[in-house]
Amino acid sequence: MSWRKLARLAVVLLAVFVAANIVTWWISGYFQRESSYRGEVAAVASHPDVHIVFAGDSHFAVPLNDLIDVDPHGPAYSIAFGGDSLRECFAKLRQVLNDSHTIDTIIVSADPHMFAKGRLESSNRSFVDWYFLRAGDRTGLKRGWASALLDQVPLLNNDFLQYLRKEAGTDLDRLRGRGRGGGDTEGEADGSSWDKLTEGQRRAAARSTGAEDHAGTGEYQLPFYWYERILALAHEHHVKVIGMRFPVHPDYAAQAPAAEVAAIDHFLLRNGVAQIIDLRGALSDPRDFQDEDHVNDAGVLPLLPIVEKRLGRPLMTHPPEQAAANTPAPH
Amino acid sequence: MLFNSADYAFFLPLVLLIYVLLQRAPLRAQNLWLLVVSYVFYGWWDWRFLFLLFGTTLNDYLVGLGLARVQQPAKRRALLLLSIGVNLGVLGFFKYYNFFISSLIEAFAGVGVHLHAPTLKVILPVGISFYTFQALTYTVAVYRRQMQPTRDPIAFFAYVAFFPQLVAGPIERAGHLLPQFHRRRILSPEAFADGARQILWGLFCKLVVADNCAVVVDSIFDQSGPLPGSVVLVGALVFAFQIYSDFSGYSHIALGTARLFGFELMQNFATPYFSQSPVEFWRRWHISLSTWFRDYVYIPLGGSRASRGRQAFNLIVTFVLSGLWHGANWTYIIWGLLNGLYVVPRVFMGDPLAGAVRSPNLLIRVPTLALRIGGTFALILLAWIFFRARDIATAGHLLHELFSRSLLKSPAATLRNMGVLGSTLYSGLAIALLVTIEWFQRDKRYALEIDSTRAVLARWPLYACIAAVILLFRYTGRSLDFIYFQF
Repeated sequence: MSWRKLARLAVVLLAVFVAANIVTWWISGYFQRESSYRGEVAAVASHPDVHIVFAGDSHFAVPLNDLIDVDPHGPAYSIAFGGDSLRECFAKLRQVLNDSHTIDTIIVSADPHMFAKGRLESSNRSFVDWYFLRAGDRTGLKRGWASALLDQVPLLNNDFLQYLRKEAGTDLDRLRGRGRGGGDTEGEADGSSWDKLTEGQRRAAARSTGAEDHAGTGEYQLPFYWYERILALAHEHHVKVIGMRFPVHPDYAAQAPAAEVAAIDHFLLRNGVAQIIDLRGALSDPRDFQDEDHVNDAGVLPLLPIVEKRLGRPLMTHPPEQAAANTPAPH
Repeated sequence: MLFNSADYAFFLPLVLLIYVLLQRAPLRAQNLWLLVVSYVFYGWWDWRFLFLLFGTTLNDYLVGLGLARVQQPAKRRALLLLSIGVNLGVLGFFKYYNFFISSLIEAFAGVGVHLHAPTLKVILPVGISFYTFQALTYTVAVYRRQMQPTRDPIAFFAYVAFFPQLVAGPIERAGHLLPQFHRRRILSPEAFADGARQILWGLFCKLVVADNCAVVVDSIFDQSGPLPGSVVLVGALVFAFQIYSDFSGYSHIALGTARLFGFELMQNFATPYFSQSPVEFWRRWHISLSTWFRDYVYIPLGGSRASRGRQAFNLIVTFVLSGLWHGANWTYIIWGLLNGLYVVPRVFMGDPLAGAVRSPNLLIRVPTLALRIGGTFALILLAWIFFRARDIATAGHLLHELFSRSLLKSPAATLRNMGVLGSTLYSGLAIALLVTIEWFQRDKRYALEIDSTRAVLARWPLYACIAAVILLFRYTGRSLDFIYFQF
């Protein structure tokens, strides 16, 4: 064997590896989700009149994104995404505030579950590593810059591999006829069935999900750290921060310990949040909900005017009914 | 820095590139580069312990020079004792201080005397057991006049800190590795390809087998409630392969990496689970440590040149010390003692089945082989329970369950309740793949060592499959340390 032959071999191997990565990136649902995730952040640049940005998880994303993000001259835009934690909110807000200079207000989720154990690590964590790398900010890269860089290579991305295995498991279950057909990764349940359930069933589901989502609320420092960074970022850009909670089932909300919620509110207000708008009890008709903790496309129509009234500002250029009629089918 | 970390994926190519560029520079420049990057590699974990590494190395270097200058036996012995004292003193303090203090307090408490001795929060510097033992081979060799002391501090410091084997071995002998720092290394494409293949195999062992097994092992051994014997058996089996794949994986990556740089390190594992006796197992498991204890403890104690009773005593002492080397815990001491007891019968009985193994009759040879391999594995498995258990009492409970009726109960339901049934099956498949490949390649230094004269089509599909298995079936949780880093 000669060095020349070895080098040729290395080049061939590298080419195969690159090709395998391109194919993986192209066909995998995980990277399609990543594209849509980053696309949503990048698209703020095509909204020249945006003044208000929402950041949070599926509680904002499910009702809002398909409604306000399709309004090109609308004053509000949502970069919320199912599964985001406050770290993801921070990374995306920093990017958005750098890209758009018309924003004067950011509305960040103040939901108690964002301060719970389940949100210490987000399923979207590697999506936002990119923003930390771009900003040259190592503080958000939990496993270091080298690991974050390698995660940008599809076949070396551990989160992708976990996704792939989960998908394979689901497919296997489906083949065995055990498919549950449940919601997707944005936390959406089968929206058509929520109002068909009895109130007893709804309460039981709300209690169960609420208990799971709120486990460890307020016990961890990490969410507070990221909120502090969001506030510092807003201060740096002279932007107002409003904390907001969207409607949920009362039994879901009741699972968040009142003392912890009060402590969160105290922390937010003390650290510079201008206002906390708590709309958890604003809607009560089951037809307005997709499940225990997500407002649906019908519910957003009465919700939006409430939000606008509390903010004292419009969120859309058209009335939501008209916009909803032009909106593609719900995701 | 871990071999399986992203940091290392950037570190290694960069270090190698500059090393190759220095190939035409003076040898000292290349050695200096290796020294610097080895200290960076070690300091990545905790830079404060670089001073410790530097200090012990300097002591051994100066002792070496002193041994060359001094001729009086008493002074030479004093210098050797200085080296041994500093190395073992440092090791003893960082590794055993709390163990001895707490054992002393417990022992006195047993007879009603309550002592109040201070225990300290001592952090164990990674790899200290390895590099202190490696440095000692130098001073002992110089003392015995088996080699001349080096007058090149850069070469010596690089020898002690050589990053591929600094934190978990192989524990090299000065006579083998140090001369490689004194002559220019030859980088050949064959050695480079060979090194890359061994690294690939090491990554498979670590990322696919060991780390996936770790999930199952941790769940079973860290369980506080009682477990059926069948689950204990599963835990012990999976642990046997976890520790093997973890440590042999590390060694393969170390050897492969060293070969990329033109160095040849000693083989550390030789498919030990195919051994036909505990004696053979210890010739094939962690070879660099076994031979270290043989050369520096067993033989000085008298070795096999003594009565059989004395030989047995020497073996037991050596194995108990080997157990203690692994950690400051009674579980390791019992593990060492057990292994000592396993090898003692050979002293008195020889190898009564040796003839049957060589029998031309397949009906005799194959069952004998199976019995010997299976029996050896079973004995080693029992000892592993002590090695992995939290404490002696836990090991006792686990063994009690293992030899109870619950051994016959299906482990599936318990494993499912613990949420590790899928992981157990997954680990089982990985273990099966490892054992199959190693069985067919058992006479090789590592499983992917295939004669390069064979057709490309016979070799490359296997390499490609292993690479694909690593990419698709590697453990994806948090990066796990190599088990032997703690020793």
